[in-house]
Amino acid sequence: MTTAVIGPALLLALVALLLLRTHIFVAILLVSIMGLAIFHGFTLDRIGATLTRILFRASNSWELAAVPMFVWMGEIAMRTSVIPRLFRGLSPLVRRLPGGLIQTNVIASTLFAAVSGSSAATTATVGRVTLHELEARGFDRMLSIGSLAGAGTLGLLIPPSVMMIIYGLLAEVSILRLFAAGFVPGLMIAALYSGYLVLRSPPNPPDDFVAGPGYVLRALRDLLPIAVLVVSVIGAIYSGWATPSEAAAVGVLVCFALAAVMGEFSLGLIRESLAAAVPTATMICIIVVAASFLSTAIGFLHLPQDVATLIARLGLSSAGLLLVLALFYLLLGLLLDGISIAVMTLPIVLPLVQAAGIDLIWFGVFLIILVELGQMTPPIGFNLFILQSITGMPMLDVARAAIPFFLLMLLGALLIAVFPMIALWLPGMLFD
Amino acid sequence: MLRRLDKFAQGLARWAGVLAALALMAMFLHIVYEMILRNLFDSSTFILDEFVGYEVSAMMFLGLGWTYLRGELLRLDLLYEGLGQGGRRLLDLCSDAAALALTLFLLIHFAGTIVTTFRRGTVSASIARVPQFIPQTIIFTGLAVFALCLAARLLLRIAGQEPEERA
Repeated sequence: MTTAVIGPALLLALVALLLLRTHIFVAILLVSIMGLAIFHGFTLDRIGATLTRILFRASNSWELAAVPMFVWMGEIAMRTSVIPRLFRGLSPLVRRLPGGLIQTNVIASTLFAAVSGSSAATTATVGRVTLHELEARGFDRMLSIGSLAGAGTLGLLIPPSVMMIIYGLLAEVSILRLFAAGFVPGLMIAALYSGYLVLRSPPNPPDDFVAGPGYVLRALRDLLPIAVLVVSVIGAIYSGWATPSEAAAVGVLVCFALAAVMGEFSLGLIRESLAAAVPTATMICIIVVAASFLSTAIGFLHLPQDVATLIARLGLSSAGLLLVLALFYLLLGLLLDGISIAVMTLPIVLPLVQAAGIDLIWFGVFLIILVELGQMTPPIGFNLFILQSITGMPMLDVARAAIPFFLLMLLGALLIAVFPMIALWLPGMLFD
Repeated sequence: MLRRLDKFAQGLARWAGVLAALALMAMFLHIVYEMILRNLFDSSTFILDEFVGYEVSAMMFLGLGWTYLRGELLRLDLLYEGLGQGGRRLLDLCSDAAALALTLFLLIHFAGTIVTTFRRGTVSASIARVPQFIPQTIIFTGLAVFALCLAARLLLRIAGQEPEERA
């Protein structure tokens, strides 16, 4: 059976199962089992043995710990006044801009991405605070959801990022350099979003804000807790105090400390934040673990290798190669989460990229932007799922709201391809 | 009778959820303890990755039933939203049945793996030499609770009674 048949057949089966409202991790596992049984001739016993081994190994993962830690940190931050203060501090500063408070989605996501390693945590945390507030104040719903779908993914690009840690390990490049390389492109994409909001927003709904004396100082004081959080999480990494994965635990610790300073620490805070973090973290982790079995299954079926070999045979220029890789990753992004995509394909793609003379740090940033785009595309777009669950809006509407922001991020990827220095300038300046 | 089974499954899932929360807490304390040892005392637990790994899997599998009952396990509502009452019930029935079938498949194979690792006395490669049947049994327990929740909900739906969406 050829790749041309197996790939589309599995994709179709997955889409059908998802449409039948099968839980996503169940659908992923069932499709993998079907793939191995039908196209590879594995017996159910052999599949069962492989499946338990992989689920056990993939779930016992130290790297995965960053996910529940960052989700928990977000839940604590949400239950204290850190995020409302961020919203309150930003509001008077951005209210005059066209798009007004919708701009807080972009800015708060960018700031929160700087402490959170995951885009799911960024989208969920910022979304829960801002979306209802924005709607209550009469702002355009599609714009506020779309901007969050886009800006929420910046968690992958703006350090610290779980995805970058995994890419750094696979590509054997410095994680600190990667972190530095993601910074400017992250800010650039945030600026593109802001610019778009300025251009597209209808006139701001009226508010009753009166700019009294010292309101800027008061706003800055409200922004202090998030600043402390950002500086301590990133500072812990760059001072060598914590590994990038441990920084998540530093984030939890600092959140508790901030809660204590602001007089908001209680046993209830621990209990409630845990009760909210466990289901969210379980939901994300179980999908990542299921995706690792899918990776193994399609690895058995030689799908990634066949596609990569096909690309290698074309003998493309480096620009052509990047274009083909971009299409390849965007296609995979429809189906899989970023970590699985990276783990599955990089062993084949990295030598190709290296042979074409492309810088591996730069490629890491480029790849992560492509993966971020995948988070905004159905059927498997994590950010869309999260926004769907927060807003209760149909998936298609959430996806439609995300389209302009998807295109802007695509523009960001193009800019970085044409001007590689956007990514390479900061690491060059810091480390060379 | 079915309602009682559902309540029992909910109670179990909630207890497993509490254990999942404790696993998350243990993960945090473990990492902080390791950072303090390393940075202030130039020492290490030497087993951080291994134990944090066990805690991640304990949190994820013990939390599964509870996450399901809270309606937080993600699924796609694309088709569902356009359906009437009957269609929705049918899809709910199918998706719970698919999840239950998969979970039972996993349970059977995990049981086999646990028996094998217990008989062989398989331990981890680290200095802690943790018998591998222990973390595997935790995963099994979580999956069993999840299966019970699914079975209770499925039976309720077959009997034509609507379960409460959120626990």
